[in-house]
Amino acid sequence: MFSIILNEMRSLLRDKVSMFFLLLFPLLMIYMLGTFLQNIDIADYEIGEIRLGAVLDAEDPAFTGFLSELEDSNDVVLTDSSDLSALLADVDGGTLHAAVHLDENGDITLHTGTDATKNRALRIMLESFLYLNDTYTACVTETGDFTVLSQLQPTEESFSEAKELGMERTMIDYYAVAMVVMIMFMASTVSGASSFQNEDSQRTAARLVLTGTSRVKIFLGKVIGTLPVIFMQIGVVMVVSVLFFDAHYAANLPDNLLLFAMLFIGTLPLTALGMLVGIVSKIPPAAIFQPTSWALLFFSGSFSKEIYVEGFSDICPPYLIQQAAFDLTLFSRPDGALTVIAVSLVCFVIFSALGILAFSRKELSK
Amino acid sequence: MNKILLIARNAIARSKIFVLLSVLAGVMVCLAYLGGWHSAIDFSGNGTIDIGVVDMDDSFLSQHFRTYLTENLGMNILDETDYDELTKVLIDMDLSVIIEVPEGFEASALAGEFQKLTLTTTNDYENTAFIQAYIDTYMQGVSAASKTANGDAELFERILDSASADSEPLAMESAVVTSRDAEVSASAFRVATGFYLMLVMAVAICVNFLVVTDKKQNTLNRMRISAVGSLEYVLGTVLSCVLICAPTAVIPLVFIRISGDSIGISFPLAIVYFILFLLFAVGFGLVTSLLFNSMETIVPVMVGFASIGCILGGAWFPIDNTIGALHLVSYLMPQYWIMNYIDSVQDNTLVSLTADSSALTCVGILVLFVVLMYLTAAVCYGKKRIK
Repeated sequence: MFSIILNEMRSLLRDKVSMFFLLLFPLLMIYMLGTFLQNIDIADYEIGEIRLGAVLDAEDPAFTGFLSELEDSNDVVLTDSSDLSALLADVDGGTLHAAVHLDENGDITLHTGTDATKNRALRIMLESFLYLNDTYTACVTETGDFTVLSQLQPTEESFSEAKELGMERTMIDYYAVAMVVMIMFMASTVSGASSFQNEDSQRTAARLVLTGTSRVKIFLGKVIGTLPVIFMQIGVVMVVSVLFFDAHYAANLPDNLLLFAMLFIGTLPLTALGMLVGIVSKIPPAAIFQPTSWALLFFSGSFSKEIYVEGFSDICPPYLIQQAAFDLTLFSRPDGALTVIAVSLVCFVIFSALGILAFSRKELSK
Repeated sequence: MNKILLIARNAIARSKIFVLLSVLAGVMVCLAYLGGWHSAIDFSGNGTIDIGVVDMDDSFLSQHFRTYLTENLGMNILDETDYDELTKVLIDMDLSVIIEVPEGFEASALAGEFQKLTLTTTNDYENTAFIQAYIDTYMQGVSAASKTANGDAELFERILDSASADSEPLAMESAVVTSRDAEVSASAFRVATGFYLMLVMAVAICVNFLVVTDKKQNTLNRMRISAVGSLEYVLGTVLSCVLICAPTAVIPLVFIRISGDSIGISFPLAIVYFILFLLFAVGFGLVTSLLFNSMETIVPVMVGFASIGCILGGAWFPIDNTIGALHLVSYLMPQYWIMNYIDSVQDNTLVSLTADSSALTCVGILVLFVVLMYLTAAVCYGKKRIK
């Protein structure tokens, strides 16, 4: 069995082009996606400076004061005018982002431009102002006492305090995990299936059986033979991405070892599944596993973090592994990783048993 | 000529699945174009931002505050209330802010002493000041209600309810009268082109399939001793693959033409770009199938080039000079020249480090890429013959 293991390792390592792409491709994807998408990975578009036109056809000290406060905040550049149509033309042309009109009846209308983020910010600011006015009015109407208004002066007090999260996950950190999961699903299944199909087509499997080697040993030897290569792939990607791309995995060594163990053990059932399919199917393994893996990885957000389909993505194995990895790396919570390890081992035993059964019954090419 | 057509016909007959894939790919490019239309930013300003609220007070005031955030400010509060789970969503950038309402929020407000709301954002969130301003305005109103109520909880609640009941939504009108359809359709075309550049490389794997199968079955050697020449075999194979991959280009181009949309660049130029890249993809497939012997090796090479080429070429998202030296590698990708030209025309800016990217320059460069591929294929094929 040891010679089978050694042979399997050598044949995998011999294919230098595949090794080159299985190692280099994920590293390139980590670097490029992590670098290129960093500026796009945002929670909200920056509002920035707003150029606002204002036409006031009525006297409203409160609204005038509100506009002055906006201007003083340095976030809004105000342009006063008496010509609404000229301002609207400026908004349409892009010179102004929006215009606000206070008509003779005291009603406020916001004329929006093409920048949705600024439109939304202005809408919220004006809604807040109107609500504040309504609250002052309610104070008067509920008490029937107009004099309360004189006691209600706006304060400079801030009612909220901002704090930063204190932890972050850059896009390189995200893809450092996602691309390792991609190796797991795309490489392990195909190499597992190919190894059996190649052995069968080259009649090597039949010759091995003729020498008296049991089929169980042959199957297990081939599975174990892939382990050092998987170990190397995952290890190289993790180490290189940390050393050269400044990726961050877990914060401490035990968590990193657990992460590595999860990713490594997670590959075992995939390899066994690949071998099982390679035994029972004559279809090229790439034709089966690559589209399937690509689709699973796509909907798991491995290529784009924004892809998430509720009810489907959260049952995809790549998604579950990624979430377990992020729980471990960001929050040092090992539960997900331990669950993945346990499920992987169970699946590995099942697929291996099925694979051995299928191989035992298979008519080998002679 | 007859032999070339015979080889081409035979190759197409063996690759029916790829013909189907090519048609599917063409349909996907059309869907990407339609998706590009729909994903154009709704500039009405009625969009929402997602926030999380952790309510540790669970009082009338905290409920009123939540209602204010959703109904007056149009924010979307996530169902999740656990802080740790919300933190995960925040790290994923699927949330703008987590607002924590402290315990005793209403009691302290009624007493005129206000506990501060805590806003948690990501480390570089730029809109924090705006969100603080929205909240402070609401709390000014709460402060006014508190002073008026002077400890009377019932009056306090009536004031806040009355303010909510009387509030009318802000009147909004769009001042945009000039049609933005041309901008939107040009942007959608960019998205569709990005998908096309990736999908046509995937369909071009049919070249690999045909040549590798011929190598394994010794068809190439048999052809050498037959009346079919090497050039006829290569031309027949290339012709068949171009025909197989053609639906990937033809279907979306016809779709766009029928729709009559403006795509930002001239339509004949779009046809030229699509065809040139299709020829490049087929040539690249030919080179890889002559260099390598197994599909297990070739497919990662094709997939790798398609992915990396599209990323570096700016097919999936725009790239600019801020990526440093990697931008120089982009010049080696044919995808870059197509996307660069489209971006230059649509943005009316120069995004390249080189001189003005005229259409002729880009077409010329693409032609050179195509010629390079087929020359390389000829060299590879010649070396194999000598062996």
